[in-house]
Amino acid sequence: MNDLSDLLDRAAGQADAVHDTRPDVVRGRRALARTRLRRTALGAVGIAAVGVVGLAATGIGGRDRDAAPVATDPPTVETTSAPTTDPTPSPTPPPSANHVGIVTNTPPGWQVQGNDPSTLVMARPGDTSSRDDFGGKLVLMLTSNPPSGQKRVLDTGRVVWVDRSAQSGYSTVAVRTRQPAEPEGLLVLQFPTDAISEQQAISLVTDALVLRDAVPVEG
Amino acid sequence: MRSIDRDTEFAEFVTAQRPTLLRLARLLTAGDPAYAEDLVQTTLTRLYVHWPRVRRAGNPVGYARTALTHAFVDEQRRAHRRREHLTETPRETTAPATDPDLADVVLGALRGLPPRQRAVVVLRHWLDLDTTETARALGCTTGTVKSQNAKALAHLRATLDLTLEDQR
Repeated sequence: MNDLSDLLDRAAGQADAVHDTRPDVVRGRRALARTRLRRTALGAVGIAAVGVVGLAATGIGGRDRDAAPVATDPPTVETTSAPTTDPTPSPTPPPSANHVGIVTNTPPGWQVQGNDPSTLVMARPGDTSSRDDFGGKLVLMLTSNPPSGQKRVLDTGRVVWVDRSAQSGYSTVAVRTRQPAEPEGLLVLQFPTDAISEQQAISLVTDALVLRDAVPVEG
Repeated sequence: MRSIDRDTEFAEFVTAQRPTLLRLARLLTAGDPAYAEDLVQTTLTRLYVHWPRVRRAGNPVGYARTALTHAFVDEQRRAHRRREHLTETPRETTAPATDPDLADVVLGALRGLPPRQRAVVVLRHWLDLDTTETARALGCTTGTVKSQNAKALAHLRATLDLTLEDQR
């Protein structure tokens, strides 16, 4: 006579040991990044539809990575045929052993609050809020989403996408990573619109280095 | 909590518990490997996002079991489950059952149960949760657990020709 628990145990099959936890970790990181950005946008604009626009500007739309490959750019707005002057370049310090994901210069009056393989968060000195809270902060994030916003061509030939969402209080500047030196993806800086100038934002995002261990978030 | 800490702790949890979660999912899905993998991925992703809260609660295994069961029940409530949500090819981390014929029979019997009854059977008789714990995991009353368990055992008795305890 078989005991039900024994039968169920047999039916469940044998489970092999897990040798690679990375796919689960990466999925978790991506979901967490989406959650953080969503919180920021909602905190900034309440439940206004402007928040949705802000999320779209950062490329956060919940799409499946495979369904929305990075290769295809969506229609964007060309603001001018003349090249935009590059901001004064300032060398990004070489990454140290402590660096993961993304490295860039920290603007005066800001400091790095935290970083992980997908995100670099900069906050005002003395800001004791959780690093999960992006409100009022500069957030550099590597994503696998297509760019959106106004397309501009810098003197160097590099293309940036600028989206200034005045009503939400947040803007974004995005640039493709340098291929093949950096992992493929779109580097997006989300910043409070009145916190830094557009030139500073472009400088931050174009000076940034995306390290080999960086992992793009999707959706 | 630092991201690296979260990653390390979560990876350790995955290493230790993923096989058991996959077996649980296999029973809940009555042997659908793709659906089972999908449930496990969904559960682990939620766990990662809420990891600080999970740590504070002090019972990540229980949290994961409950989250997986909820994911299964929620999914079953939807009229049409869309398989294209699966993010990658299911891993081959569940080896075939040691007795394939018997396993097929049992899985077939489970397949004949409504999802909630199936969940009650698996939680009560495989995980050995008591009525209160099962009710908590399923978000229902203990009375519901008892009645669902009795109906499920009646079905399994008829299908498997077993002598089972009606209530434990």
